[in-house]
Amino acid sequence: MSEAILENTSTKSLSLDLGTRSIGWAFVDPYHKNFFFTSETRLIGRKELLENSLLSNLRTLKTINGLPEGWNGENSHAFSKTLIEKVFNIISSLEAQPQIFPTGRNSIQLEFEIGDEYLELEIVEDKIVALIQFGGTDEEKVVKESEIIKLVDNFYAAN
Amino acid sequence: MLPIEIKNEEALYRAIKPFPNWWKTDTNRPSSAAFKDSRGVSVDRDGGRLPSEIVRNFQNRFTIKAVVSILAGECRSFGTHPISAPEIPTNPEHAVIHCSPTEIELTSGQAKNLSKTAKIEYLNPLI
Repeated sequence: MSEAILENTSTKSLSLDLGTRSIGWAFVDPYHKNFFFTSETRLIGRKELLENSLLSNLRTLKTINGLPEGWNGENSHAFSKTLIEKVFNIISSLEAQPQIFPTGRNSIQLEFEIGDEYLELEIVEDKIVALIQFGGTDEEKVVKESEIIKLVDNFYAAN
Repeated sequence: MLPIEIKNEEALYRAIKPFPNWWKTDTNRPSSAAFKDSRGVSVDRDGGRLPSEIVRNFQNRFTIKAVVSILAGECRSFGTHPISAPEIPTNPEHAVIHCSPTEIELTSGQAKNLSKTAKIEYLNPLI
């Protein structure tokens, strides 16, 4: 399986090979009408994100996707394609990009931090645990994927 | 041989490796992800050694981005449970930090508290 991110500088399309299929972004100018895409390709016209945090996060996700069995010592495992795709879907839906880190317990963590205010989403295949430390709140709870955009929006609204 | 009991004033040292990247350059702190491990958080006790000696010992074993330390008493104040776990003969100062006496994996809040409180003993800005 290729783990390469395909970067086409002329079309600004990116994809991550998950073995059985690829997932990817095609970055488009919203005023440019002549473009083609497949159902697996997300179209993102938020130019300010394109070459910076979103691209950086895709590269980080590619690195995490490439971590081998035993990457963190004995009994540590490579990350599943299901988890990689779940994280991909979450970050590609967000306006503000987090920092992404793998953990040594088969999860991938998204971190949003402004000063002492902090929002963390620890993503495993079957659940997402949020650590919320902002606006006077200090809470750890399981959240649904559908709640994430609102959580992140609230975090930035409070800051 | 170190005593099994880890006293509150004893410092515990955690090596932060450069790959994957667990260091947040914007805050110059380790991510709390560096404290999330299904086997517990692996640390070395000071064992009466100087921090520079401990850093050198880590450097002889791994490529490291940073070394951070935290007092056992601070770990306990966050509800975590440091335990002596010597690896004889290679690392008699080894210890692990667990969530509690009965659970291994730290909560997200515990991991964040450790990452925020840890003192930076060594940082390699080049990697």
